Amino acid sequence: MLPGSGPDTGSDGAVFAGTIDEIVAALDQDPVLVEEVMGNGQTEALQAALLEKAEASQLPVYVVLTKAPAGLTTQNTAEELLTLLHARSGKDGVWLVSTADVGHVAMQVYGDLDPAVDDEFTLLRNASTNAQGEAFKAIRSECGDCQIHPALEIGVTLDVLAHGIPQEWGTQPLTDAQVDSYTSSLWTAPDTQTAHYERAEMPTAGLYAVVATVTALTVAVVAYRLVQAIGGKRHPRLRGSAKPAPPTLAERNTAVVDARREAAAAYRALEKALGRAGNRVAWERRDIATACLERAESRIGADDLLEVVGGLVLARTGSYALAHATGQYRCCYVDPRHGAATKEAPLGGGVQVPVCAACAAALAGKRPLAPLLSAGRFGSLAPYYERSSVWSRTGFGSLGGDWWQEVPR
Amino acid sequence: MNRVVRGLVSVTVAGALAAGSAVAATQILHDRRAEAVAAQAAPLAPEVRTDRVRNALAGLADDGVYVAPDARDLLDKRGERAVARAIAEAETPIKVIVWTKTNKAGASYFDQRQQVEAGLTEAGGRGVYLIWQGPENGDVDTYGAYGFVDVAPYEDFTGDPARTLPRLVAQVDAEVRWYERNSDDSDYWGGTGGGIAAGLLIGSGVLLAVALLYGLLMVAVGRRLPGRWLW
Repeated sequence: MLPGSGPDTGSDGAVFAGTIDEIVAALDQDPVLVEEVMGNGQTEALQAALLEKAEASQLPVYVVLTKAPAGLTTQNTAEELLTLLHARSGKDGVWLVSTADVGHVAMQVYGDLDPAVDDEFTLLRNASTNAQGEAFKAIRSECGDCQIHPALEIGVTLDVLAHGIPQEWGTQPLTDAQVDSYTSSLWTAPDTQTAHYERAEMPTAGLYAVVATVTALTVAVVAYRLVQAIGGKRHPRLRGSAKPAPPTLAERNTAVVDARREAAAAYRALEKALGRAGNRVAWERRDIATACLERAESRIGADDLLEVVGGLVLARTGSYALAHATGQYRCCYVDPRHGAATKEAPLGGGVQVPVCAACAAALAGKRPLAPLLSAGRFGSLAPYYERSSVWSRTGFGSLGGDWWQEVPR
Repeated sequence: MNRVVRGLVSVTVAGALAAGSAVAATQILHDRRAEAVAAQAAPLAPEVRTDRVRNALAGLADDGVYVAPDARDLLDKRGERAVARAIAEAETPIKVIVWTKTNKAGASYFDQRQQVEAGLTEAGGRGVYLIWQGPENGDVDTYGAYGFVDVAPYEDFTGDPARTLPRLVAQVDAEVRWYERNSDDSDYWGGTGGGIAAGLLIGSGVLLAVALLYGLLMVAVGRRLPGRWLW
């Protein structure tokens, strides 16, 4: 367009102030200029709302929301346009300018608008920022995805100016009702993005058929079987799962009491034998007996079956050491209460372990064993050698070595 | 109760539950989709259209070309007349909008374009629209029916729009393809019969998984469900 040929008009004849001069001319008529390109979808309403606020201001204000005119030289077209508009018009006051390509608001205060304060700009910006913070909070509480239009920043600043330049820091003069008014669609933009790739469509006949068939088939089969279960024998056992029932608590308690009695007897026997031993017995053998005695003492009264059995085996090991010049006591690996081992037999995985005659026969005949059980954290019972303890590591001495040294006193 | 009666009762109860749940499942599917479709259409409804889009749609009504007041620096009145002539000569209905790219006019770029397309579709018929926002910047698409135009804004939007736009408008008749869509083509499951067959297949898979879970539970607990398939 040639300069001086009048303002631009659209196809429908709408006028657009496309140059600095045209914008200045428009501001002469009205201190607020909002163009459709920055009008947040409701240009006339936004223009009217800002104009009303501008007229309530105690100081001269100039508001421009437009597309940056061609020929500006910097990236920050809002600041540049503001400077050029002020230079061309020469009007003092509060200037607020935003352009479509930057999206933020440039603000400047020209002239000594309030003789009482030195820094009108910083005080105004501080109060405006505080008020905007309140408005953002109100908007976020209503609509988490809403975007904020630059007009909000201008509207809030104009509301602040209705009370003149603020006189102190850290305050903002807007009432709650004023803050809440900024949650309207005039100042915010819903962040809707219509589906780009996934278009929601009503289900096809085929999809209805799939969903109906899958549901009906599954529900029919499951429901039929459940209805058939009504009145049946209560939760029958599976065939072939006839494991020997684990001992009850009472049985285990009796087992502990029995083991304690046996262990106490063995302990007394060892104590007596050690007292009688003297120099007839080699000192190495006496040392073994003493070590076993010390370790058995605290165990024979214990509540845990494994500890009590450990005390029993320790006492027997001590007695054996005194009674024999060589060798050591080996108990039945499967359950030390079975007594001394007489044979070796392969247990799970082919490892040869010492066992009593009864266990050897059971292993040979592939009959179930009755091992010493130990209780797990949740009360489940398993053979002691399937768990981790000093007893499973040493097999109560059946695996040989100076095992008693591994047992804590 | 003899075993035949017992079995018949089970079949009847299971059948009723199956029919009920199938109806409920399709109802839920229908409602969910209806909600999604409505939510998708909400930002395109006439009452939420931005003033910019409303002005553009009104401006397109007479000669098929609209230049926004802020876009006169892109296309002057002479150029606009040239575009209008090209549109008048084309067989396909063509709409051309020239405006400045902005997301501060009440909607995102993409939503503004979708609102334009929805507005054109509403007016009836099918055609092609071009939105020029600047060099290599804009949109070309069909409205009112499924179609494809072999004009790419990022390649073809070059030079002076007063020359380029009439040339592109003249190409549209040769470059546009229309697709007829009928309901069977777009049914991934191939209609009701195909859906039932697929449902039986998927349903067997689900039942297999249920059986597997039940089996695992049975082994872990060492007990099975009371009763039998057949009493």
